[in-house]
Amino acid sequence: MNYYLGCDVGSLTAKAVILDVKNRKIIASHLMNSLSSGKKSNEAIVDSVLKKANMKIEDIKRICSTGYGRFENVYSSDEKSEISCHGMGAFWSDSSVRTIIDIGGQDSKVISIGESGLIDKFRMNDKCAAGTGRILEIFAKNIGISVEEMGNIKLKKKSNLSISNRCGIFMEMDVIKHLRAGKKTPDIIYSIADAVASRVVQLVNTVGIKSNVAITGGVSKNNSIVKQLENLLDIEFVTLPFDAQLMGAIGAAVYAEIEDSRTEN
Amino acid sequence: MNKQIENITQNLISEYHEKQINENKKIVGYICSFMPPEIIDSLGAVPFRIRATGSKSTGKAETYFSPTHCSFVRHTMNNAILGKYEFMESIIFATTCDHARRIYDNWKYIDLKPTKGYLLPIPHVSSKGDIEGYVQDLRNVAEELSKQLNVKFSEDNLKNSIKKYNKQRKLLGEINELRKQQPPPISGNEMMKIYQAISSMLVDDANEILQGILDELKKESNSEKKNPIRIIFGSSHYEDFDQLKTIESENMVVVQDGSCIGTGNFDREVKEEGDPFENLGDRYLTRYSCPKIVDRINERVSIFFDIYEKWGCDGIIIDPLQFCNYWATEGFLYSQEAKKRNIPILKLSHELYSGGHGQLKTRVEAFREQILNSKQ
Repeated sequence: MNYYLGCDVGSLTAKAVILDVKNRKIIASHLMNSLSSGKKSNEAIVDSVLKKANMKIEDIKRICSTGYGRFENVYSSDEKSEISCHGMGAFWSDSSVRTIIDIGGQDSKVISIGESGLIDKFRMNDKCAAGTGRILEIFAKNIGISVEEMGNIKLKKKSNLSISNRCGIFMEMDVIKHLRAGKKTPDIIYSIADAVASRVVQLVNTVGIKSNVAITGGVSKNNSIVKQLENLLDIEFVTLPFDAQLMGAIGAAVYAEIEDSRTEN
Repeated sequence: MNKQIENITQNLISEYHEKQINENKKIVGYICSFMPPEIIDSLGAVPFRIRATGSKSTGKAETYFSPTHCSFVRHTMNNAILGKYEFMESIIFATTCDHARRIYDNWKYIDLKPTKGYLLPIPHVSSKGDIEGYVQDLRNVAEELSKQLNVKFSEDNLKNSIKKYNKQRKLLGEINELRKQQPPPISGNEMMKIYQAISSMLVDDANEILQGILDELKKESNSEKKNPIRIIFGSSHYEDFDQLKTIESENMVVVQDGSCIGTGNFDREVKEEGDPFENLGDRYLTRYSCPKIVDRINERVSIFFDIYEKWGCDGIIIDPLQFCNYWATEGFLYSQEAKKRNIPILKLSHELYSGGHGQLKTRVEAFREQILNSKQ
């Protein structure tokens, strides 16, 4: 059997999938928090996903790595940027996708892909936490709830609380100011979602939108931000058939298969 | 890479500069490519383009600048407060931009050494009247520097210095021609180091080194890369070689640049017949150089894309210092033109000596993949 393994070790989480590319099937997947080094995260995530699939490393035909830990995977024969992998992962999952908004722990990206899933153009955020998953963790801690709870709180349609989106630190100062003033949690969360989404929209505008659009990365699980992005961009994200947080790892596994075919030919 | 070039670029006071100081040569710093080093050379001093080499922090300078001043001026001021430029006899400051101008103001305010110096005004346009004013300012700087160095100015010496710098431009032109080869015999990082090193050397010594490098490159290539992606690079002041090394680590090579320490700085020779100040003024204000000169924007963009074609580039990387107001708009114009011509372009920005190479590597790797996809 031709099984391919993709690893995506990011700043907050590590993800791995084992794909049966030809039969378009995910054999196993695993997601965990990243460990203290890329090497440890890669070893742990590969071990865990193999156990879930009841496989050994010898059963895997080829491994490709992506994410910030991509150069520290001893099992991997290929490394690919997470920009290419998120593009390919979303395309493999739904071939109608042409634009991907990926919001991860450390950065956000907008990726435009062509008809075969390869990157056409892309933009990444500047070196600032505003518009990333990391800042949501900080806000959740400020408010005293989990990130998951923050994403699931039912929001009002509008809030007039202002939160800057120029800088993560200024955003945090605004959130603290509203908390001290006794503003309601749903109003604050609405304004956070609006500020983070507006920041991402700036990136989207520099690349442009080609339909269909998918959202990937950890923040794709935060309903308040997803909804706000849809409002601001006047679009509806396609629903991907697999966990959107796994798209980087899926893309890496697809690239492992592509490289394998290229080598065989 | 030539050992002397490495030594000069890794140290503010290199072995070369220690030797010059021991031989009682005076060293004159200058902060901007609009100050012709020919004038310093003609007065028998060693011209030294100011850089922040070796700076590890901007802590001492932060008091005098805002966080939105570029990191070059903050690192330079930090070095100055630590006394790192005291080996210089004088420094020619310039009104290059508001950031660089503030180095002069703060230098005087804190009373840093060297205490001798001069502020060279630089116009924003290159009209006839502006060139005339700039020529007069060049005469003034020569007169003032001659007093500071206690050396009599000689027009013949200046003409001779112009000839020697023209020779340098020819040598650099020949080296740059070799960069049209695939793979080019020298990396962009090595070339940037050469540009930086020769901007702090006596022109005769620099020319001797350049001749040696040229002869060597004609014989054999330094390149270890096979069929690299060819990049033209645009930037403001550039001296973070680790940044450029990361950019070139992904089987990419910078084959030309539009930066003020690189190609732009060495573009076009100075006329050798006639008034040397008028010739300097004409060349320095009308060459391909800096976004400061606002009436030459179209010409500059056209030259950049002409170089792109002639050097067989595959993509453009724009990587100025963060908060460089000139490049903020210049970079936008280049990306608009690249879009029109369907040329891949990656816009970055960096803080001097700040690291962050993980994110940079991801962007560059994805850009390389984008270029390869566009070739398929």
